[in-house]
Amino acid sequence: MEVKIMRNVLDKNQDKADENKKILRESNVIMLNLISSPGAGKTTILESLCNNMAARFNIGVIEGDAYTDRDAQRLAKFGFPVVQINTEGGCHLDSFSINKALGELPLEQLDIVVVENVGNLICPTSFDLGESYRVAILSTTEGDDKPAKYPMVLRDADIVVLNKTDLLEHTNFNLDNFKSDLRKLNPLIPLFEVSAIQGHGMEMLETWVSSIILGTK
Amino acid sequence: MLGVRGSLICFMGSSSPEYAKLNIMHELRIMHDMFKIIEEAAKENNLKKVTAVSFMLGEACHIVPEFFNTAFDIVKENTIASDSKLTIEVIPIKMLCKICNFEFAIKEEEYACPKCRSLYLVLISGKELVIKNIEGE
Repeated sequence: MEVKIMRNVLDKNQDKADENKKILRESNVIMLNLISSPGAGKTTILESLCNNMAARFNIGVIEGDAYTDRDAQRLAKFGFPVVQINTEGGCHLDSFSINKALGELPLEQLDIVVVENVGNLICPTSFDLGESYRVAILSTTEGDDKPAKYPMVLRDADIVVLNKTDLLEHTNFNLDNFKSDLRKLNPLIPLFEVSAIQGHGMEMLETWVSSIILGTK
Repeated sequence: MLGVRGSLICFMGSSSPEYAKLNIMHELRIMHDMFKIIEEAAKENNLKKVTAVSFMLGEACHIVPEFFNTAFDIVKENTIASDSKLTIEVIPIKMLCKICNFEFAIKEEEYACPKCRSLYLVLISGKELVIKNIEGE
């Protein structure tokens, strides 16, 4: 006997993501989903954003890590609410864990929630969390071939941040090749070139974040 | 099949089942959700045993079919589908041009319409992780 099913395995994740979107919309809160390889600088970029935007906006943070709460501890010093999700080895966050974390955040007091996904360029791409914007973060020390190797993360992202530009001269990263590969893949995507540690280019990124927050008010 | 080659190298370098499990963590997670759907459907249709599962895997999901098969074989043990076979149909990434309505498969990761060069494209296939049907008795 043959039974027709025709169901996407991620349907349940998508339904929960849609529910998260609704919760965020009702609370007038924007959510960013930061996706990168391990070590590209997600936490450092987030530290810099928290530090420089604290005076104007209330930020909530959801930290996804396979193990430990080290990143959450780094971010707790800014006084914003931080929820840690440990996936126990799992390679991505899903909309169910985000739904739970959103429940623990004081959404009515927040302007923006930033989700730091588990460091990985493939798995998190398939899982919608209900975010308003998806941010792909790459870094010069990873090499300029990431667009060619991981097309989907850049195809599905809303903006790309290239971090560690201060190290550019010490690497064989070719910025022109990187940009041309990125443009082929996603011709209209905004690219922010930053050094989160030195602060270069961060004000442009902060302006973008401010503008999307103010756009919802 | 761009974007999946790196993973394939990991797979070839691993021989022990434990190591294979670590490498296919992502597939195992998806497989867990897939078995929930299979078990629900089997129950609804009073199947005592599932003998075959037919699946559509979109290329944009960056999952190597061999990995998916390995994950299936690990998860199927002690389930209603323990003797079943998984058939995977790989679905290519296809786009539709919003300007000239041309449909095309993505080649060399270039996302522009080959006919009119427009950049306004929508994805029409390639993200499938779809259970088509199951067979059982």
